Amino acid sequence: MPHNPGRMPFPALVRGAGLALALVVLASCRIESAAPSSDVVATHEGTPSGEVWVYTSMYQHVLDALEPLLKQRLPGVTVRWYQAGSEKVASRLDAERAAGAVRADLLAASDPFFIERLARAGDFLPYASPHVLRVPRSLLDLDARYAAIRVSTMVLVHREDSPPPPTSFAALVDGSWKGRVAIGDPLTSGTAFTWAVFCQARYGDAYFTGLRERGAIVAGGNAAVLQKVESGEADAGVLLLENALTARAKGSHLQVVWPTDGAVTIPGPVALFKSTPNPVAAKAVVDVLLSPEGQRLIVEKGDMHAVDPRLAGPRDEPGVETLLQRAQPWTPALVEQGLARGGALKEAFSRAFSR
Amino acid sequence: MSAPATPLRWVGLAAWLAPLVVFAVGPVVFLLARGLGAAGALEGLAAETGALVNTLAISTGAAALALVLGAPLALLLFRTDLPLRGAYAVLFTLPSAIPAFIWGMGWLSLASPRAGYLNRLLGEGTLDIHGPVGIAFVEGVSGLPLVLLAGGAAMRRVDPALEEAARVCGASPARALLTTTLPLALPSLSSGAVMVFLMAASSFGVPYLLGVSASPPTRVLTTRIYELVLRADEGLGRASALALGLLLLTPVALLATWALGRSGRVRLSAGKGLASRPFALGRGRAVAGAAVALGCAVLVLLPLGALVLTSLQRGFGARLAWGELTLAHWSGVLWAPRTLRATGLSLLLATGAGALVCALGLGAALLQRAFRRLGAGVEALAVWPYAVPGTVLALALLVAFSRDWRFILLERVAFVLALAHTPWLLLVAYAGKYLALGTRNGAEALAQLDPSLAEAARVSGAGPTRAFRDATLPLLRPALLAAFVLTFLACATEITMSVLLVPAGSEVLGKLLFDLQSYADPAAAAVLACAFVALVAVGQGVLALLGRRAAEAR
Repeated sequence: MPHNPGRMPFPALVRGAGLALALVVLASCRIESAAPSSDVVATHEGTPSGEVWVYTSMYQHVLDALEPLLKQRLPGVTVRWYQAGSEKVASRLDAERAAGAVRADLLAASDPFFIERLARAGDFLPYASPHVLRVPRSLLDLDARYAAIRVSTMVLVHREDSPPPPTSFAALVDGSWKGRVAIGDPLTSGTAFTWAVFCQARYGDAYFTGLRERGAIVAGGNAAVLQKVESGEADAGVLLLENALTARAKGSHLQVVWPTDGAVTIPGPVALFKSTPNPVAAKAVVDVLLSPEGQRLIVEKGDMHAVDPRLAGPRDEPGVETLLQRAQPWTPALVEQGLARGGALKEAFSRAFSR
Repeated sequence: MSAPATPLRWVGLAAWLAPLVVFAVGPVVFLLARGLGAAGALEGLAAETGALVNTLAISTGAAALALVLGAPLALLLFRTDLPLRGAYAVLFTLPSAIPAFIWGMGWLSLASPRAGYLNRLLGEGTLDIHGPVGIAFVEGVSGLPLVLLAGGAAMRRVDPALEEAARVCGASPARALLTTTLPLALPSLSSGAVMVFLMAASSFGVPYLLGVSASPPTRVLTTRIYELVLRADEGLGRASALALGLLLLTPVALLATWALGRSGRVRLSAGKGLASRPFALGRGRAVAGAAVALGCAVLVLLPLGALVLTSLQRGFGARLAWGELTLAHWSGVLWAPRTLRATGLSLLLATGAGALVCALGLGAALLQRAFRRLGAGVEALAVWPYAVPGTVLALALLVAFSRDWRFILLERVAFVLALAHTPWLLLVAYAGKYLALGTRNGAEALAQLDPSLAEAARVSGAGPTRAFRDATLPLLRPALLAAFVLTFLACATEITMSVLLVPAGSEVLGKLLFDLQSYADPAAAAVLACAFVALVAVGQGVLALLGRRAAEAR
């Protein structure tokens, strides 16, 4: 066959499609004056108004519950949530920072190391809400770059009908407890990573090899750990308290064990970006989140601990001050460890488990 | 009749290339280059050979499984008088309708070593879904429709005259079927298998779900890339290097299809509009029916049943007793306004992406034919984003489009392209990622069309556009429809990219599934998956019914 490609009337079609696409792209453009626009919203001192963009890893049902409160307190403000797991929030923010266009005004993630990294990079606007005066000092940044609004806790869980559970994180590796434990994957789950930082700081790399030798099952995130324990695939699990409490409320037969060597708390801080065009409204949103009403919603809907010591803990647990006594303390050395040697920890963990 | 002037060809190429480069290839290349430029990108790559080997083994296994199951199934379902073949055709497309990781969950509840339902029946540890074999199995089954639909479309295009010729020459009906139709459909089938290979190589959910808990953990390239990307700056370099390795698989896979298809590529449709006669199975009908029914029960219904059971349980893995079953999850999830809003947006986006993929894929196929040598490049470019892990593609789009693009005209008017936090970015991501489905299906179908049809139309006085619309397009329709269906299903429940790109304040099904799965409980996610299966089954039923009506009306 000599050449017949030309007979397919492709140009008409492709050109048509291309033209249509170009039109679509143009139509989706906003047209404005090319003069450097002064669209930086004047910071209305006084009444907060306008839009506030919040990137958060708080559960969607907590956000749904906070919505009416924010509407009532700040009628002029529209809050837009981008909600995802804290790893995803971090990825998205990193990408936006790389592009030099951070859309978020507020960040409310539950990864203390990520927040600390951004704080050191100088991304945050210091702001001390009047509500933080009562909050325990260990949950605050003393430079006011961020402040915790909620506290999650890593505890041990087991099924009601299972053999005697482990009583401490150390018991998972020292042979005093026989059974299989499910843990989150520190390589991908932020909460599991924080837990691993604490355990490594206390028991060294041998902790990971010990876990491997005792047949620990690595599951993806907290939901996967919960599943493994509930289904009987594992005898016990290292899990977030709020996940266990929520599951219990739904009729699951889970029991929480407070480890004798100290639970691991994971503060969920909130911080303001320096680049925010609307700091007044953003600060007002922070105030609402830290107000007693906002804190109560976090306890009641999210099953997490509030930072306000006047409030009880979730599902009749004691409040935040008792929690901090039951938990291992956060130290600057630990923060440093997670920030600077996080990569090495992940390597150590995956080396231990690939044997 | 003269060939259109050469410049027009180039205009077409430019019109097709521009959106692809701007919206898919460019951002990814930019991100990878940035990563590779960072220090330490190539350090420690030797430690990742295990992941590469795993990826290759798992993807090859998945593709082989899909081909081995898909080829006979396509023959049985589309060319024989198998009982209930319409229903089976719908059932066997379901694996693509549900995100692979939901199937993974289903199999996890069936074949976890200790708690799986099957292992509780057969004894502890009989089956273990964790590890490479389990991953390849789940990926292969969920890729089955790619082979099945591509093969079905090809078999419908095969000129029945060929089989009749074989019969006239004395071949038995079975021999005629196996020696004419099957070899002719083989390029399409193997091209489907290559798509399964690429899908398995770039998939994340299933390898993560089933690999991380295996002992030792099975790591593949995508899960390694994800782990490295999460380390932010220090990991991005190595992640880029790995992603580059993954992307090199695309041309290799395309070369493989090309080599496979070269021997068997024959013009299939020379113009007679005869419907092919279904092959009578005779005595084998019962046996074949039983075999297909068994396959369907094990591969599709069993995990679906596990999903339904999960959706009804109060807590995951509770004892199996009537008292433990509840409908609470169903009422709690289905009528929530969030679910309805997310479904609406997802269906809209999936339809848009399906249409875009069909149009751009057809364009790619036509360009491929027009440019011959250069066509291979066009195809590689169109298929390439498919092998990009969703996380990487999403991050690339975020880096590229987080900032508004301003095109300034005459220093007065600025066109501002603001994609960040709009559903458009999701549409771009979906269409870019799944363009390969349209391109491959379109190219295979077009390669099998004899140009004499369009020529005949032109001779009868039709203009080029008219000839294309009346002669070529109707013959391409099954392949394009298959591409649309596959894209639609994939996009409607896409998870990895949706979670990162979803605009603030709105929802899509993929994100909802992910949320329910990881924060609420698997039961709620299972409800959504079941509802989606029902939706797809009804949709396909309606399509099939409409098709039959149209056929009768003719």
